Amino acid sequence: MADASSFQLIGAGLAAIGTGAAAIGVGLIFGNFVNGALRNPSAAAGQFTNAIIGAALAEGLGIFAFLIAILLYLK
Amino acid sequence: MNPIEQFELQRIGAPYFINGVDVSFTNSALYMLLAAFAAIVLTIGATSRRALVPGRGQALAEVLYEFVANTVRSTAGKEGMRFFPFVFTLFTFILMSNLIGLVPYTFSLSSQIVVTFAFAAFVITLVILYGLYRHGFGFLKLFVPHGVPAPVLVVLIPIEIISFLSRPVSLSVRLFANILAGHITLAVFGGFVVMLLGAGAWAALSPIPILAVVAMYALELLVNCLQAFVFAVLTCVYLNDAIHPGH
Amino acid sequence: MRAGKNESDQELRARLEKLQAELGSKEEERRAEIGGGLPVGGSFGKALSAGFTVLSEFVAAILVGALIGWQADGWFGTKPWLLVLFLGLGVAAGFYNVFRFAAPKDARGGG
Repeated sequence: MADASSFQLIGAGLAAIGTGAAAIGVGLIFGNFVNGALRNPSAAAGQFTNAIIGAALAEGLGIFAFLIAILLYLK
Repeated sequence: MNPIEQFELQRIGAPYFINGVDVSFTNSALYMLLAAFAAIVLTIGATSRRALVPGRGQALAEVLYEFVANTVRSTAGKEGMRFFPFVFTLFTFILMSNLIGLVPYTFSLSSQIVVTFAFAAFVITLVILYGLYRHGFGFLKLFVPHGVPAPVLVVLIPIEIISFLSRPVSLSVRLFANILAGHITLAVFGGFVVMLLGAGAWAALSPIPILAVVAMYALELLVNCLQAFVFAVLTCVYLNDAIHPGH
Repeated sequence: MRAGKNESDQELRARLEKLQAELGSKEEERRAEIGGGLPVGGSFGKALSAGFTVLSEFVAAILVGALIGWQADGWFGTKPWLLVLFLGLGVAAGFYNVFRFAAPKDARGGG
């Protein structure tokens, strides 16, 4: 039983690495957006909404990693 | 200072029990009354003069009215206008409760998941009941888009059902999470200021969290108004699904 | 008929410009969808509201799928396969929600 709880904590810490992966994903999206915007500035404003939608999706998956970490930590 | 303290329910006045259920008057109920009162004062007070060239208060109410009316008409069509009082009430109430919650030392209603879930459950119940009343069981055609071959349909119908059931959850969680996150951030940054001031030499750095709080307040104002608006717009979209099912 | 060719030309041009202005404003009205006409924040507010909506609809679909699967497991005792099935369906429903929300904007010419 004690082993299980210490492994739970280690697992919670490992699951939280997923939020870093989400940060990388969001950074990729906005980096590519800025890259494209510097090449074609007039079309950039229209695609800003799509950039935010993509960032929200990537962030959503990071939230699940966070949820799992919280579940493991609090159980 | 605990940033969670601002969300605690506190009883005001004497405890009042019905059949063992605690229904005493809490600060949440007080702020609900305040938000409703503010909405009523805004609309009645603004239209009491009925000038042809509106003064400022009347112009504000007219802008709100036109805004919500355009939104309802453009998303739900002419028949959706019968829901206009409901959507207008919802929008004004959420807007007022959000704005009142931005004032320091107040209690913000939409940061309670039970309040936002009550709003969302009411909207979805209205959608389902009106769809059933209007179209009978043809309302279930909402889940079956036409022009889809049968094997795909077997997978598509549970997906559509799950997508429909996720609407109240997403409505309530969106409003709740945005406002909760905003208020907690404000409280945490405020706590930083106090901590820095009390730490002797670090007090020189204390204007930085204050600037952060000011910037966060601007963002919070935008996000709160936006969330009230998004709630109202999505309500109109879901009502449109009830009026014209089976896109 | 009309007096003088120049006058009718100018009249025509004036009418053309007026019609074009009206068409432009009608086009703007038509393009005003979710978040359009928001008095606060302009296009940043529109993008923020789209982002929040997408995030919450995606997460909510997965949560609802997981909840249904977990509850059905409790009723039918088929741990954990129904949970896995409905979780997968929830992920698909989440993507479907996002697609239905974001796609019409793309089909309308990319802004």
